[in-house]
Amino acid sequence: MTEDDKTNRLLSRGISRRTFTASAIALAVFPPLLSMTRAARAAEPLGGKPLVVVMKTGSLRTLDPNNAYEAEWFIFGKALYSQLVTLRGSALDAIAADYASTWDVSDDGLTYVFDLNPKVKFSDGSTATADDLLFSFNRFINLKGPGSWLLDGVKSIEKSGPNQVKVTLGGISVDFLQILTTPSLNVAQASAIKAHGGTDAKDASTTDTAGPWLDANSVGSGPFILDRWTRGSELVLKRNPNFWGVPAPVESVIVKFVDDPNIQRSMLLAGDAHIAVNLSPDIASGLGGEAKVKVYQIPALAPAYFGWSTQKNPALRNPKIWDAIKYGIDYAGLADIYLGGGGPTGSMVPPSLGGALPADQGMKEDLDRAKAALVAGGQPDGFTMNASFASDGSYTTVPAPIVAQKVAADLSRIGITVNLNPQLFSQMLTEYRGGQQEAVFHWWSSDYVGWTDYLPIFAPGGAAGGKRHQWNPTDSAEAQKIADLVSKAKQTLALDAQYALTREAQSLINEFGPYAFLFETNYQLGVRSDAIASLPLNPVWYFDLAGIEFT
Amino acid sequence: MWTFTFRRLLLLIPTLIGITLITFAVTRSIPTHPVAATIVEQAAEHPEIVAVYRAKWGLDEPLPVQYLTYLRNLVRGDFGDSIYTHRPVAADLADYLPATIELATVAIIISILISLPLGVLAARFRGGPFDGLVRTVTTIGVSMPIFWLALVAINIFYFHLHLVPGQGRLDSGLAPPPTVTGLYTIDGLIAGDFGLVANALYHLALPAFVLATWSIGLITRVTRASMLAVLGQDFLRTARSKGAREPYVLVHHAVENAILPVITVMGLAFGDLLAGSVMTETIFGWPGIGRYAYSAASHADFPAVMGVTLVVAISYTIVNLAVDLAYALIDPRIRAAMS
Repeated sequence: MTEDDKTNRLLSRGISRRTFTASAIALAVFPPLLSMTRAARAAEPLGGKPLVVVMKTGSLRTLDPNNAYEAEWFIFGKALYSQLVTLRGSALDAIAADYASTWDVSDDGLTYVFDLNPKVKFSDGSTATADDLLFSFNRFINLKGPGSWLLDGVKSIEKSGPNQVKVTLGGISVDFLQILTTPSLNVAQASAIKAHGGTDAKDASTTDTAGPWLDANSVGSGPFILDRWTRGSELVLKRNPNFWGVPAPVESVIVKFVDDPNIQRSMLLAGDAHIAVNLSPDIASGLGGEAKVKVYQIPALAPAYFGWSTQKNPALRNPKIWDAIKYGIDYAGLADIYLGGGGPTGSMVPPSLGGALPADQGMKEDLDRAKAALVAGGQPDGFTMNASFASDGSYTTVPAPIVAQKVAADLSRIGITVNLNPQLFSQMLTEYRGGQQEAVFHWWSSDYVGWTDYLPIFAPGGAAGGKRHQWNPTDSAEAQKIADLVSKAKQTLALDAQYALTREAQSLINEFGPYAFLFETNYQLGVRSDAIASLPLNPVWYFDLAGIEFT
Repeated sequence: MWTFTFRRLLLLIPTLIGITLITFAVTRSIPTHPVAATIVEQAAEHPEIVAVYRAKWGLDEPLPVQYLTYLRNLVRGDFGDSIYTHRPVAADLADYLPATIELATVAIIISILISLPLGVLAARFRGGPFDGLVRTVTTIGVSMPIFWLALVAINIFYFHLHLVPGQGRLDSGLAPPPTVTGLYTIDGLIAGDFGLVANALYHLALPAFVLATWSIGLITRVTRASMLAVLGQDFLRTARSKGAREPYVLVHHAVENAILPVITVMGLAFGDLLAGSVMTETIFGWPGIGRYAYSAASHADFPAVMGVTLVVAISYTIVNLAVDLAYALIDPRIRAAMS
């Protein structure tokens, strides 16, 4: 059959000459186009395929940028929205520019003036303004969502120039800039949210109706945009074509929600996932010999501790007895339980935060001192105490039951009988927050990367110290001193002086407080090293999706 | 039969009211506070944030008032808002229930296709090696922990053999079809997207088979026992003496007379599959009602718990009604009694 025959045959099937001509041109042009597309795809990392991340569903319940406050949200908040300031890479003490290009803090630490970056654009191409910031922060406060307390110390937020915002605090907040890095304090496009029922009015908690729309649409200025969220299944992000900074390194990210760490491991090894976020200690340690997988550890800023009420057990009303518990625990032996899922801690402030007591100054086992404390406390033969723990809980990835059992076994060596009371996490939490427990195994996770999220909580009279464990400044001279040190540190702007105070307070809490700080916890990420060269880790948002470097 | 059906549906109303009362009482009697179980530590220390939660879910009202409010809203079709997800429970159920229905339906179809022939043949060859094998395998199927089986199955068929996908309802990045029923296979057909239907079936295969193992064991054993009771009956001997061939005798005389208890068990098994797939859904990353129910229960999210309980109760009732109607279709004596 000649070319003419082919042409005539096609025409005889009813294809018009014009269509045929167009098709012929397309066929001539298409192969180069195809090869160009292939070349472009080859230039993309992963051969143009999406980056696949597997992580637990966790408590992700909304994608509303002014209301979401769950740990699993932060990775998406960071990818979809800009914050006023941020943290670059893994450094926790270096505040970096984001929506604000520069800022100035008054000498009294009460006024912050932020110059906003005029280049910042929302994903629809429109320019972000100071009004968007004011709307976002006011909506965040007035929705009264779970994170709204973060801006409690703010007295006013106002425009102080065409592209400038002034924030006035009611009192010194030494961690205010750290608080602003939290990807719950996002800048979102006010007009889009208002158009879908959003409001920043005082009554927003009852009148705002934009939440469901924001679960399906992103209105931010981050490096990615939301493609879709299928609850319980996956969340898909696309590269923001109008991003004002360095474009995201990958066109698409698929986050699959996989609750079982065994399955996360299998998907990673099978090459169906590039990053597995929630590896348990045993699984992560088992991946050590895998050539194509690298395990990263990130401090979770969530130390596990054993704390007791100063009032509920007659033996524990005598503070001298507390040393028996503190020195009776085999802290080094806990490492055999938490493996890579934890590490030593100096006190309740995680060692990677500014102002923390160094990890090597944490509590140590000393059985002779523990036995001496029992004698000094009038309980030479030991005593019995009841301790609650979450039977379905874990300290980041370390299962709570085995930690509780280990500590109980340790204390039994010196005659302290710990009757373990396993409870559902929700029940344990209810009793914990009500201060109803005689003793409890628990942890304290971060809301932002500052010591003020920990030390005042565990100080005498703090939310944990006073309410959960009934330890108050008036209990002793040491308790009063600690409370005073913490108050002074919260008012001290000079970092060196501030940190000297916080470290002294932590040392005293270690010595005189009703707690044994067991270990800091880690996230453990499994990463395909044949696809990913590096990723900027962060304790709050695991890692920055826009900062990944591919092989 | 219509009267019978109508009467049964009418009985559903007091049943559901009773279920709401019991569920409400049980959920609210456990020593867990819904707000304490839901919000973060620091937020729990802020009265104004807690007040928003308490007001939204009426937690300041006395329990009887809360219950009556719930019932009043329920009559209007409002299941309330989930304390944990902050969404209407009805919306959550609409998202999660179809995934479970699809999984359970495929599982029960697999169960029936496998267990009916196995049970019939095991009874026919009673005492032989085949019967012994079936009894052993079904005992294992009934007694094996489903989470363990799921992990082993994933390890073998996904991780080592790469025969099936490991997770989810569709391949990564494949967008679900436009929602009509929420069942991806059906919605895919409606959309004319046969590739998507094939992908959905591909993802259903392993979790459905794992979920079906327990019901395969159960239905096979009941089928075998029921068949054994029938196989010794005189009417079968009569059929054989009249020259009927063995397969015909088995299918048209024995099975038809042994099927009623089997249908009952199928109905119960289907109900259990709908309500009891938490572990399977968790391990296979299946976004179904089992995972939703577990999350709701562990967070004392009583509107969600009650919503799930009601849906499961309605499902059980409808399945049982279908079983009763199937009785009538199969057995003319029951049909006569109904009418």
